[in-house]
Amino acid sequence: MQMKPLDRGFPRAIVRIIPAAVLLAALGLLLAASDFLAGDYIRRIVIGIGINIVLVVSLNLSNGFTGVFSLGHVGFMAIGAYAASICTLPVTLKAMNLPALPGWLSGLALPFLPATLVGLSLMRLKGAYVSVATLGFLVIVQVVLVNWDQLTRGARTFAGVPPHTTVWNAWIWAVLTVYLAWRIGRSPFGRDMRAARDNEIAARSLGISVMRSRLLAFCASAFLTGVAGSLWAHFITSFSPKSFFFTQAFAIITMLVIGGLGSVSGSVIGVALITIVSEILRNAERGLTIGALVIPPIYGASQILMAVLFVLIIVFRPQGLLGGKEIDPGLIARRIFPPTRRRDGPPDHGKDAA
Amino acid sequence: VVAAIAAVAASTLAGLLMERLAYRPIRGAHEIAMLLTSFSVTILLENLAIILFKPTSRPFPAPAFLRSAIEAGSLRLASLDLIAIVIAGVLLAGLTLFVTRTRIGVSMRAASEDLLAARLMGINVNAVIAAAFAIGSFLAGVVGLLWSARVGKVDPLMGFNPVLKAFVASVIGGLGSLPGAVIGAYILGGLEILLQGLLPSALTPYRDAFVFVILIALLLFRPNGIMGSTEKEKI
Repeated sequence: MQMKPLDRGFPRAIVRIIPAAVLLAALGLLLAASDFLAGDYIRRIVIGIGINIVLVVSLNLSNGFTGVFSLGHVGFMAIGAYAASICTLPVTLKAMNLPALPGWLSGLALPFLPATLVGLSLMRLKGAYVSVATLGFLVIVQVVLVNWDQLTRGARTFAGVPPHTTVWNAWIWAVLTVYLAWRIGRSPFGRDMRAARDNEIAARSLGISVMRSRLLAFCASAFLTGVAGSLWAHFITSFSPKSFFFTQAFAIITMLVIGGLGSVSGSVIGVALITIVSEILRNAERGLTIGALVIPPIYGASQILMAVLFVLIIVFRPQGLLGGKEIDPGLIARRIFPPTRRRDGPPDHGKDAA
Repeated sequence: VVAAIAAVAASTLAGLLMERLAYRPIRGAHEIAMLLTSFSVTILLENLAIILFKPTSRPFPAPAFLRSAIEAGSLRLASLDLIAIVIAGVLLAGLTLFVTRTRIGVSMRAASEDLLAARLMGINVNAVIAAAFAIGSFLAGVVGLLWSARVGKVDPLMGFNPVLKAFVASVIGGLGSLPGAVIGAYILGGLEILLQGLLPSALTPYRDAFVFVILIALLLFRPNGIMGSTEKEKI
């Protein structure tokens, strides 16, 4: 005889909240451990991962969900970083009283305007053409930063930015970004974005405004990238326009593609993987002794290995590690603790997504 | 001259090797994946060069006859520039003939248009694309020689900017169109020189920004490049 599902299940509300709560608690514990117990080195890596999560997940929002591949997001990062630093720097006294608040705000607001402009004009292009045009945007930002001496110190290093970024504010933004990307991805907007990515003509014929959904993704993503830029500025504390050029762009895109375009959890995994691997490689680059084997320091070798790794992943998993799918903690939780079934309708699908 | 031939041969070989190792496995993948692969190959080669040849730039010993200049009336032309122009013209003419008149050239264009259909027509796509890479790297090798002779030194990262510009120019002109590439190159080069001359001196440092603004504007009016096909996508 079959047992009634009602007797075995767990209350729905709890099952829905538990996974997120458990994840957050675990994350909180890990962060606390890294903040209070671990040394400076580990703490910096943890902060770096947090900032990179904001960067990569927000890039995924535009490149992964809409398929419009922007190479110019580092430009927004640069704008965020410079805006935040400029606003916090000269008013050192004020910054002491009002910790970084004005800086954050400008870092948030400023990338928005260029993003709308760039987005409005570029979102109608496709494929390699978009990539080139956004690359052009990056070059433009670069040129302006180098030449606007009075504001940005030109090509010289912009130093002495107050180090406001902590494990906590970096990761609060990381969690917020993941949550936002997750929600947008599952919202009607997110569906529009993916529909337009997979088949633009079909999407149009269903009445989806391709432009609107792409613009939304692009601006939201530029906004978050700007946030990441300002976090980064207050983390690194000294940088130059060169910090926001091709190397940086390539690093972010590598993480994105390795994790899997269009997958938020994939991005997070990509970031963690690449950051840790490259950190290990960077240490190994200084020379290394394994038993009797002594490897002399080869500078640049880590970049070569990263490039090889990237090509290998593209060859063997062209869709990235997660290939556009998600690891859904909610789903896993529902597998382990099946919720009570409602009498009406199919068990669980559809409702969460709406 | 022997060294020059060896250099060009080496770059051709490197191109073939790259095609076999990095690009053939991802044939048919998303074009973004290919673009990214090519960037990572760039990073790989650059760092390899840094390790092998040290990151400092070193002088490029150009033969003396290249450094002389020809004077005709009030016109003074560096012989190197002249040679570069002639070589560009010859290579371009050769390439055009190759792509339109020879069997392998036509197969190449067929493969770029529709890989599957080309395969069905009995074209050995792998061989054709390998040939394309060999030719491309051969041309790039020639350019490398000319460029270093012009600049007078070599360093591992020298290739980045020219390649970026070449990429931009070919996209502006329309990918897959030789005349488009030439037009794109002329537009890019012309814009740079014109803006350098015409902009008020306070703005000249911003030249590259203006160049890209104009290029982006061009792309908005011709989303597939100047000579790109205007064919609508079929369902």
